[in-house]
Amino acid sequence: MDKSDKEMVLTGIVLDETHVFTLQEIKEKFHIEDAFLNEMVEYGLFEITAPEVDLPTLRRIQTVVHLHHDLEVNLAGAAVVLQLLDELEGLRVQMSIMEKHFK
Amino acid sequence: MQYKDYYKIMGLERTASQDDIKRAYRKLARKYHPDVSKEPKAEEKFKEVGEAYEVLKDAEKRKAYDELGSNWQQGQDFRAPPGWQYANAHGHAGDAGGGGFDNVSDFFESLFGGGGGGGFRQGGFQQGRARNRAMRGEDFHAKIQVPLEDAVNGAVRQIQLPMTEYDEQGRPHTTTKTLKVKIPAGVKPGQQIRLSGQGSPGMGGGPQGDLYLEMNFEKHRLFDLDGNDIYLTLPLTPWEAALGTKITVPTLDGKVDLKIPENSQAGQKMRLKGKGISGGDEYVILKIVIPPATTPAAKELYEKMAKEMPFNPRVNLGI
Repeated sequence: MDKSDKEMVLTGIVLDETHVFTLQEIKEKFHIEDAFLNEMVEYGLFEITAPEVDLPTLRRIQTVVHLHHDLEVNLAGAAVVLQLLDELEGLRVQMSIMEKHFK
Repeated sequence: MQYKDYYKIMGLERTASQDDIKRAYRKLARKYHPDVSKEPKAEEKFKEVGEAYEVLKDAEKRKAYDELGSNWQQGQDFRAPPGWQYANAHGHAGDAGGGGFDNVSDFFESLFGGGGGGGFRQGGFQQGRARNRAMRGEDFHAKIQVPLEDAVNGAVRQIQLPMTEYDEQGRPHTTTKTLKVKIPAGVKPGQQIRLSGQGSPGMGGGPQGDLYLEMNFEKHRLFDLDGNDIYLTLPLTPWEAALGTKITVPTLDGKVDLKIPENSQAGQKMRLKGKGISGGDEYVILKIVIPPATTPAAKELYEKMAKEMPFNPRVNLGI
């Protein structure tokens, strides 16, 4: 890495909730096929209402793919895991507030 | 480079059976999986466990690794023995996976060549594919922690990212890339910044991949973040709560005066509109702190209060 690269400040594009990804991009990104995507929809992991998905949906798909590939979690289990993760995150925030309050 | 004791990493004896190894991997993978774990350095440990499993689950790799001997210690300076032939004899470790940030350590690479498989993510390792075809480089993904103030006000952060680069023969080696990145004001946790062309180089003249940085916020000393709202606990004395007062409270962009109404109670929430992030609010939660009765005068005051302000806080308990 040369010095000029180190000093250059990189400005990227923020992918917010309005940013969308095509289903083709999703399949290429996660190396999955239509059948797997359809199965995820069948299990209620996400809905496809348009040819594109938004960033929160992409994150859910990413988590499911990782759970399935890394931890051998089936899609029914992944649905439960996603629900529990959402609840857990909410509880963590509440706990952090409580910890500061009762310190 | 440092020796990696794969048995120690997996919590196993060197005589562990294949079933033991599989069981240990599954348990540790669940514990450290970055999508579900909040353990410190979870992602790093997940990769470490994945690499250990990649070697120990494979009879040939395990045998070759065991031949290094059992006297090495985790973290000890290491070099592959002279005449080490595993990578040359078996080719690179896998065509499935690798690619992107340090999926394998230098230690693994020196013994088995690059890439992974098994426990590693399918990152699209490019060796083994047609080199004549122009292929876009892989995207890199990383998570960074930024202070809440930087996310709100914007900042420039220097970050160091370990990554795997590929030589002309497509063989990987681990390196570190240092980047200065602009964190735009108003970025929210979980959002990603895409930096074009900062990913893996393309093959056969294909374009470079992109770098995706996922924003996470460091724990703040004062505030907690819930969505776009922030929460602050505000300690008050009993007389401030009872009589009402004005208190200067911190916000993300300076201090503001907050009117505490008389007869305020502990746990009450007061909203400072627009003082959160991205249009959210700041909620101030009141906390009453009782001064200790450590002097005769203080004790006398408390006794007077008890006498002149009969009050049962346990009435709802029926006691």
